[in-house]
Amino acid sequence: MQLRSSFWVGVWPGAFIAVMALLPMLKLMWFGVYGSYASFGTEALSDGGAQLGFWQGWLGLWADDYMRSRMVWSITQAAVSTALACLLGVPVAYVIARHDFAGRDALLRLMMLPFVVPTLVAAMGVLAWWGPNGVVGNHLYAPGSDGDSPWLLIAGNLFFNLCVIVRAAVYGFSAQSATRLAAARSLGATPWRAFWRIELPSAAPHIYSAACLVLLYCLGGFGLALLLGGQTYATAEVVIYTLVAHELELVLASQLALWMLAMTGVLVAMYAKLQLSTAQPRLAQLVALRVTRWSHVGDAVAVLWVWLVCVLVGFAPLLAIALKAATASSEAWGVLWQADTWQAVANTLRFSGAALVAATVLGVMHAACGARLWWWRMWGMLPLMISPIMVAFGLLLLVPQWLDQWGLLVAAYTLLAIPLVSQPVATALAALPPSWLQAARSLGATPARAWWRVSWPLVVPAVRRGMAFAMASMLGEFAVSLFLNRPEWTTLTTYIYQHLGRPGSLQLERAWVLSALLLGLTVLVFVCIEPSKKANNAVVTGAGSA
Amino acid sequence: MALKCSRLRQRAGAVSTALAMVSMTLAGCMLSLSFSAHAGDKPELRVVAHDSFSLPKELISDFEANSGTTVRIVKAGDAGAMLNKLILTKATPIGDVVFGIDNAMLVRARAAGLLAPLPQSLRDLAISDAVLAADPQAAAASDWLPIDYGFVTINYDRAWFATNKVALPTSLDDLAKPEYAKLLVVQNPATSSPGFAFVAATVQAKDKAVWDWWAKLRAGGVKVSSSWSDAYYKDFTKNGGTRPMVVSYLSSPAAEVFYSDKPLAVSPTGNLNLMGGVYVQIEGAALLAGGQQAGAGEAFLAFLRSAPVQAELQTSMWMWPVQQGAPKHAVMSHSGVQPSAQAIDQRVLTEQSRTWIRQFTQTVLR
Amino acid sequence: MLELVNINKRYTDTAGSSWDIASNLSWQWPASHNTVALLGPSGTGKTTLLRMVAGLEPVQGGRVLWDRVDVTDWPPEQRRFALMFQDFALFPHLSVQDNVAFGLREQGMGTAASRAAATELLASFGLADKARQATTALSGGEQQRVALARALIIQPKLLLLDEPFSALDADLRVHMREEFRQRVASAGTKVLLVTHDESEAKAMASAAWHLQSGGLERLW
Repeated sequence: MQLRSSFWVGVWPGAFIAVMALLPMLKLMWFGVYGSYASFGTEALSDGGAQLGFWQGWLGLWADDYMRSRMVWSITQAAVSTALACLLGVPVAYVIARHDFAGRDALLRLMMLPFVVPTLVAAMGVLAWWGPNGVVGNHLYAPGSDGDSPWLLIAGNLFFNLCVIVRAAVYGFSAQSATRLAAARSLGATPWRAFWRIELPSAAPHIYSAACLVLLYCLGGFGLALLLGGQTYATAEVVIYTLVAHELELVLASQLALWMLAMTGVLVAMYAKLQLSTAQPRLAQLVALRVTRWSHVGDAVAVLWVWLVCVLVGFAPLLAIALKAATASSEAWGVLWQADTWQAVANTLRFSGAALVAATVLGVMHAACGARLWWWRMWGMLPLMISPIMVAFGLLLLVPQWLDQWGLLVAAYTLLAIPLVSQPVATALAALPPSWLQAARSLGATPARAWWRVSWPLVVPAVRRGMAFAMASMLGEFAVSLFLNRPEWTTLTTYIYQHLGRPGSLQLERAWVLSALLLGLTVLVFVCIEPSKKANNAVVTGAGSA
Repeated sequence: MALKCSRLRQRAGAVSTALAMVSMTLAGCMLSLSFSAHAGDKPELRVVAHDSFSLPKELISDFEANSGTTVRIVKAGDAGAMLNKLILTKATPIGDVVFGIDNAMLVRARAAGLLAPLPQSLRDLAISDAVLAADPQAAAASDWLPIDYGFVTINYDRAWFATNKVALPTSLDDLAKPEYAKLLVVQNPATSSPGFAFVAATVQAKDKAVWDWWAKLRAGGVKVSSSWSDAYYKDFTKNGGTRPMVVSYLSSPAAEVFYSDKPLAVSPTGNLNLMGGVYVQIEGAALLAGGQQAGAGEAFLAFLRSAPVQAELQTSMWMWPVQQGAPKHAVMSHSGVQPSAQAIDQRVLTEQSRTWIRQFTQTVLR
Repeated sequence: MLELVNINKRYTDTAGSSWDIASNLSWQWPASHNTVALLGPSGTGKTTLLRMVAGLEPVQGGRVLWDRVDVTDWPPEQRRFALMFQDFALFPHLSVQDNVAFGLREQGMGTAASRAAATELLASFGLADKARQATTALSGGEQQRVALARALIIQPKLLLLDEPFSALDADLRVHMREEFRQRVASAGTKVLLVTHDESEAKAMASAAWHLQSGGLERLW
């Protein structure tokens, strides 16, 4: 695309991200350095932290025992979750990539399901399955233990992110040249050595970039950590929320948020660079799939084990929710008939729908004008780096007079959804052979016409995939909705959270039923929007990784 | 042919996507419009309250009928979170009246400019002697109307202590001993008001030595939960947990009797009112500055102090009535004798609360 | 006729080293020749030069002229110099006839008319029965013929070929060269061919230049 038209297309999403993500953060930092708490009624307080000066306090955060332990735990749980996801996911992906078995296609499609489940529902699911009162968890906790476990949060992270690694690794293992492998074997490499020296390094960039993404999601996750981490295992995001919503400790919260931003920034930069090196055109001869022979023990074990891992990690929690909802009392099911519930559903739909339109337009524009520039792609991922709590809080400080306009909430939703659309579209665009566009231009098409007639039809599947992810994630949006919540804006997720906060088994049962409702809605939307496999295969694009 | 089919399918898919998006947004907008249309006939009074607010529906309906307004209860979380929310949104208030500001939060609420002055008629309502003794400043407020009061203390599981033949601790120092510390669950003062109340009471009793005391508790194995409902419904042995002592309300044993399936002579839980471990809390309501419906708001505040509500709130919200001469419900006797406790000075509370929370985090949570 | 006047172009590769593809390069299309070849080993910048002529690569100094008109600043779609590539560059989401009709539609012709014209041309190529199929169903030789049809149907002023037959096997290559030469001759189009294979140049072109050290040197 020519420079000038790129600029005019890119300036809209670029400016939107700057205004919605950077401005609130800057306002928060400004407030941390210069602001006074007088307007919050806390001028009379002795504020030890603020006396230190903002930047010294920022550096000194690592010296504070509690903050350091929270940051270390955040990093630890993200690292452990990612490592486990790779350890489990890469072998699973290898089996899927090399073997053909009954239900393989269905498994690949189902694998994306956990990723689109709303965080609150996922947390409930993990509790329903692995929790102290869970189907399996019942037997896992020693009697007399307090029921707090770091493994709950890690199980939750795995639930979401195993599929990211598996999808990326399957793509990496599939797109390999059969001739190269044959050459290695003929040069004396055993199957294991061929795997270790040829296949794995070839798939490695895909796996690394997926691992970066998983680290990013685990570090910045809020809903899961809030519900599964508890007090003892609170991550930095949860601490930021507590500091802001419960204690109005804005300075500390901003400082902690800045550290998290620095960490996520490094991850996003690595990811953006890795993503560019993985966009490659199709090879002539790919490694063929081996049909599973059930008589061969190794094959059978491999396939069964793949199913076991996928079911245990990814699907069981969802089934557990369905189970809990199905066995809930009829009084709990009565919640579906209450006006409040339908108000929440209505709010969820209209906010998500409006934000989807905006995010799709802005996301495609962002991808169209710089699919190959790593720093531009990093800019597009800024919303993933930034803590949604801080964005919401910054907005609160920035434009308090607009806090009752639902456009503000929709704008925040849109910000968080843009990367989900722009990433797959940018990947697909980067994988288009440049000669196609050049041919179109030489045949008389202006840049806009060439885009419309050649590029656009080829990236529509990626756009639809991005939209499906964006919509699913907005249906389950929790952090911003919780923070900017006004009673007339209650969404399904905050409504479920309210039920969780009220004592009594009836409230908990209602929460299960509502979770099942939200899950059903998400699945429906996802199935409608995501393109089928056939539509995907009609064109040759490299949009494999999420 | 195959290409045409797939192209048609692609086009069909794109069209269905667009249709899905548009129809969802429209559906959402129409549904929410219909909701607001329904409520549009009578003026709406928005009452911001914490999650524990609860009054029988008939009483509220009576008020709505008498005043010609619709009452909309807006639950904004725990009391502390509710106050923060009000402060953060004061440019565009989320309600007209607030219920649940207690004597500890009053100074902050005032400093943030949240409250509007009350009419004289409300200020003239008589307050019971017990409340006046606990907090003389309560009666003098011109922008805050006390509604009910209660105590935060320790509840213990009678059955557990009887079965395990363990004697109850008799003082705060006793509580810090390892054999008792590991039986206790408290709440994080940052996220829970009874948690904060308990911490404040211990600070008032022990002054400088309080953080050593808390450190001993931590070493002994005290559990910290994030909210009262977590602690009471998950960690308390009465409900299947592992801790037979929990920081809770003086009225909880009475509530246990009230809600039990079969009639009970004695409550399954009891109150452990240790010296320095009891906190008196007076809860009140106020008009929010910047709210609308001033007339209906004042009527609602008067309604809260009326005899039927003062009687009902004992078994709905499990607090004692503030109105002088209001009769006490029979079941409240299961809570035992009301301890005599002095409310902590509001200024001290306001100035020190953040320091205490930070100290607690450092000492107990790290 | 194509004319290059004082062209300058510095190329920087991904490893960071840069050199001059063209420095003050001037060249004129030889009169009474229809097909011209540009020879040189891989990596010397022949393709870049071709792209500069097509308008896809900016010129860093100098002018490109066609029939004495300065087209240096003209975008590719206005120049009517059709490109053909080594990987055929057929659009996978369009059928064979839609691929061929692409340029006609860009010139403003309606869908039905352009498809009819395309099918007619495809018939003369012997591919009429494949008109509605996906391009991925065709063999390499068939795909290159479709690419040629696509380029010829818009009656380009100049056909720019970037090693178009390298992806085909040896026998097919010889056959394609001959077929190509005949079709282009009957269409009367001028052709600029870029290749590293001297026998290919000899078979198809009547004049050849060698690109080296920033300048063009006539071979024959």
